[in-house]
Amino acid sequence: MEQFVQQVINGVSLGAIYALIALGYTMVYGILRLINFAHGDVYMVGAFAGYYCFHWFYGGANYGLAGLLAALAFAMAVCGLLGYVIERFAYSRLRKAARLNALITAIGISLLLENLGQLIFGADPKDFPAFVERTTITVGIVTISNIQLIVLITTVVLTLGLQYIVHRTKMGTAMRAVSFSHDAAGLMGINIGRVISFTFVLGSMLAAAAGILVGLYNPKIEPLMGIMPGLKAFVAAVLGGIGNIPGAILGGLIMGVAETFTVGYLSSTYRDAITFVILVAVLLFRPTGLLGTPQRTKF
Amino acid sequence: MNQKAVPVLDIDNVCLSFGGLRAIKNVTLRVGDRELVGLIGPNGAGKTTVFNLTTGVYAPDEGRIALKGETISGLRPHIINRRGIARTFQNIRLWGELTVIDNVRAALARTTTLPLWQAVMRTRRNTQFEKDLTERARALLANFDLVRFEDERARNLPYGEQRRLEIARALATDPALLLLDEPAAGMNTGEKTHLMDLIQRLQQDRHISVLLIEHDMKVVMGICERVAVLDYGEKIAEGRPEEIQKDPRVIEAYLGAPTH
Amino acid sequence: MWLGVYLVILLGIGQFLIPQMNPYHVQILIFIGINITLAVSLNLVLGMAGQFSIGHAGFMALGAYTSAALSHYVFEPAISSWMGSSVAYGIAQNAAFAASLLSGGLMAALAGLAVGIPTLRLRGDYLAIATLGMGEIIRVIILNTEFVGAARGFTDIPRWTSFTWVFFVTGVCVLLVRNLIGSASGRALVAVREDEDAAAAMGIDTTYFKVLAFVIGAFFAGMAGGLQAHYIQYLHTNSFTFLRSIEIVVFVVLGGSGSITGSIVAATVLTILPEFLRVAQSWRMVIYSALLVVMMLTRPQGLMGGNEFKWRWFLRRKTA
Repeated sequence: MEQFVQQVINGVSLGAIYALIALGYTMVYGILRLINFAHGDVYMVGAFAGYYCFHWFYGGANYGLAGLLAALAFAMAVCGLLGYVIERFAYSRLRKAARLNALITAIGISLLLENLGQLIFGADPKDFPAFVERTTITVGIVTISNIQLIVLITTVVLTLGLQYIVHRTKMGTAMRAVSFSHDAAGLMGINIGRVISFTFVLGSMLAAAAGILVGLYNPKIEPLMGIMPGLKAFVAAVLGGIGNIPGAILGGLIMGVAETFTVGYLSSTYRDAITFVILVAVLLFRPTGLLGTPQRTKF
Repeated sequence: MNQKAVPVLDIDNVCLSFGGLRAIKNVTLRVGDRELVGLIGPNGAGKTTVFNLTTGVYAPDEGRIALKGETISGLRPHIINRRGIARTFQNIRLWGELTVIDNVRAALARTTTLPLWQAVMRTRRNTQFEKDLTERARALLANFDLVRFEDERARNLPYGEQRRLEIARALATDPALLLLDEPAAGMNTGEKTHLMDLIQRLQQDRHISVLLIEHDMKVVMGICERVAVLDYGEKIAEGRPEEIQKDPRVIEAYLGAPTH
Repeated sequence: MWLGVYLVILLGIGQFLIPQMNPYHVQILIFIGINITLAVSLNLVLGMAGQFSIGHAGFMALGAYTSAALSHYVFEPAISSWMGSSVAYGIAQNAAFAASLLSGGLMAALAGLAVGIPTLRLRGDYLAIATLGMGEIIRVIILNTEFVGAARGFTDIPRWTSFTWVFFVTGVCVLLVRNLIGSASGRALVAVREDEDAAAAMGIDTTYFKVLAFVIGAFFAGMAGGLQAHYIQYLHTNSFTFLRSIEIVVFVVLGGSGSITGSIVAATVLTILPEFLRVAQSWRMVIYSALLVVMMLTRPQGLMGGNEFKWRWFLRRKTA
């Protein structure tokens, strides 16, 4: 029993990270109907931003929680900028283009980021700085590490922040309007370009946070680290209902738990396979996702 | 209304909802042999939805649709077409990259496609098949005065010609019932007169029934024998064109309630 | 008829010209042939039928592993043990190879059927992800199969691929796709691509045609995989990842989806190009992906823009 609960905690921590990345996918899809393949690589850049922040700005010194928060802010800024640039120079031109072209461009940018990363950062894995000393806390039958706590708390805070933005600010309302209909929103006087950029920046910032958190969790980082988590987060977004924000969170948590359980109870070779199984199952049986409403498309 | 034994099209008490929205409520409509029936109503009344139900895009939640007595509701669209219903679309939906003659040939061939290997190996049977197909396609195009555009990509055709091509293509599937969705939209008076002649000729020469959605009242009054009126998904009136024109419920649906 | 002439020419080149050539160049030619087969087969699905299939490498892998397993475990031991003279051996080898390749292709085609029927209900992006997922699932299944080497890879595959073989398969593929597109079925496919709902409304069984294109595409991908396996003589699932699928998609899109000549040209150029960029090895992938993005932004319709090469183009200028 304790193993079970422990696995759940591990799964939820992992799932929280997937959720953060999935949010970016879902928001961009909701607003552009585009699968931003490059999103996983933005997450990778976030991790590296944290790494370089530590080595360049802190000079290798450990500033504890405060240092972590500053690094987080730095990474989010960097990735926000990256997201903005990608959208501005590539995706904005493809808004009216055929879907396949946008898809391929996204893949191209993903490859570009990965290969540039290998070139600039070097392909070999680096050690992500341990901003905080690892300790564990035992509560009753379960052990939770302080890293996991940080992950969970950060995710909750960021998610609440996102909810606030989406539901209580003018920009958030604009985002929701644009995801409903570009034309209608435009006619209402909303500056679509700005809303789209904002969405990208927001999503990228969340991915950056995920990158930092993963760095704390699994200290090895390398330029191709974004591929699998990106894919898993994407499946999470689809699972929850792509375009649906609470869905992304739910999907992320489920993916995290499913993966942890598969590794724990089945075998670690199937760790990645479970992702695809879930993906195909969702697409075949409930393509609109768990929280998406099965739509009868009007002709 | 002439009704030989079984009506060609029998839409019987059909209902359809989209999520929570009831789009079609208890609609009953019959089209007899060689009848030309009009379907009118304000925008959003559900006219195209009735077409979609008839052609199998949606299956009704309640009720039944039958073609010449046989139930077709719930069947897949291409099966329904092969049973004998063809349609045109409100927004022209030609196969843009295909040539004019290919649009017709593709519709002609759908039930008489040769086994694949013959096509691939370019056998003599295949060559003959293609020749026949082309001749029949040309004959059809000639009826619509489109032969000169034969090798043009459908997307390059002028608007009026595209509309005619869509009708030609629908006819290529040899239907017993033809559904025309706003065929006169965007046409000038001359073109409309031509269209009206065309539809009437088709109906008589080819022994087909026609159900026509139209907003232009001159067209409706000019050629329809009977008219049904839809408003908010319900049939509110049915009768001869002259009767419908004077029906207060119809006027209210289009113009709003009279304010006394 | 024509195919026979083509085969004779190939045999001629294979027997006389190839042995004279620099083996490095021959290798490039072989890879060009394999890539053309892959590109044209995907073009049928992606460009002509308009289905977003981006898991093509999965079918390639199935074909590769199936044919390799057959050759390695069944055919090679069989013929090397009871074939005496080299002529008989040669014939037996080619026959065995044909059987292996076809089995690989059929296996891939079967998978195409199994994958196609449920997933081709989906449209657009959803189909893309589904095919991507399927491709990966196939890869992971192979990765966990012991008797084909699992994670270690599959070695000791007999080297039966030759220039003649490769280009024969390529020729068949191109001819078949070309004839298919020009036929009534081809028009039906394009109708499905242009407007699937209108096609259904005109009596075309859209599912049948989508699955048909998918299965044929998968078959040739499997054949290509088999050819590759019997050339490199080593297989590992790492060669059949999503990245490989994307490479093939790039061939199709860059050449102009829907254009057979486009696919041929793109596959050829993009097979040769990395060889020239060998100099800047580390920059190679960066340039490649940057090129891809730029291409998508500036000329998304690809090189041919959906048109085929026509001899007419040259004639027009002469009469001017």
